Amino acid sequence: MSYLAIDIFRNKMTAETTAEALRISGRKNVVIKEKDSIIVNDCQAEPHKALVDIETTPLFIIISEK
Amino acid sequence: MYYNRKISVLVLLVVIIISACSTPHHTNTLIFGTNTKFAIDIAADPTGNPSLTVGYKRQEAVWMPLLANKDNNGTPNLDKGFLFLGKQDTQIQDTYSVLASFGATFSGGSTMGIETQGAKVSTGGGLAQFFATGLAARKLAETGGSRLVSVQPDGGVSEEIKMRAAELTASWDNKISLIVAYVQKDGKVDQDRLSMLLKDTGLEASDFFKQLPGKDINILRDALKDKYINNVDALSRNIK
Repeated sequence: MSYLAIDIFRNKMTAETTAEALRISGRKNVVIKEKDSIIVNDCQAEPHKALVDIETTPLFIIISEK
Repeated sequence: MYYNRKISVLVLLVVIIISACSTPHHTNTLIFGTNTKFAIDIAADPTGNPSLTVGYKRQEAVWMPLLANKDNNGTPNLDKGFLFLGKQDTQIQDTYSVLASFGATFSGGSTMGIETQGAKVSTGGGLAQFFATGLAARKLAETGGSRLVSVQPDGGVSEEIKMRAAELTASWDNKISLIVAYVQKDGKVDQDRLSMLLKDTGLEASDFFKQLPGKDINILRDALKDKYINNVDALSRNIK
């Protein structure tokens, strides 16, 4: 089973809301990972959301079954 | 003694004769049993560090009918008229649906010194298990079965987040309808409208969208509802 980074958020509630909405929409195995930083090489997120943390605040990354 | 030996031989012969009869295509009997013992021991040492010991013992037994889906010639056996069959709609069928689940959460903590001022330490964990067959197993696989018996089945989702998520889902549905209405021309994906839609969304280079012009609009609709659902907001902003 492979996983995909769906989206990245700085706000935890926004991440949780989006993750739950994805579950409702039928996405399988949606989980949120909290990371201090992430380097995005390839994902479906909008370009401006492909963030590398520069403010040392945690990022909330939604991943899901591909 | 002689009679006992004679009886034993007779019983043996009967068993051999019975077992030599033709093997049935399947059996209708399903027996499932599970026995789980779970215990925890939480204690705190004088330094205030909690220790947590988990005891977990599980026994499981199943006698499962294996439906003979094909005979020796490879011919499907689904028209044999099985007595008990799990069915969904008219086409999907499988063996019996059985679901047994068990979940538990445990935690412990302690405070050193004065309750309101001392250093607090805590620990905890959880476990989940399930056994499923037939359509129940299929459903579990389709919907992410571990969530059903997970110790945090909704990931700790509050009612507020559930409500917001429902609103977001409705918003996505609405935007998908707008996008589809904007892009379609005679039930097909219009190339010019698609180009305008994809502008600055990061999807211009996607092979899927490159091959989309001229195809049935429902292909786009389905993709937006599934793989590209998180791009719906960005796409809808390009609707002029």
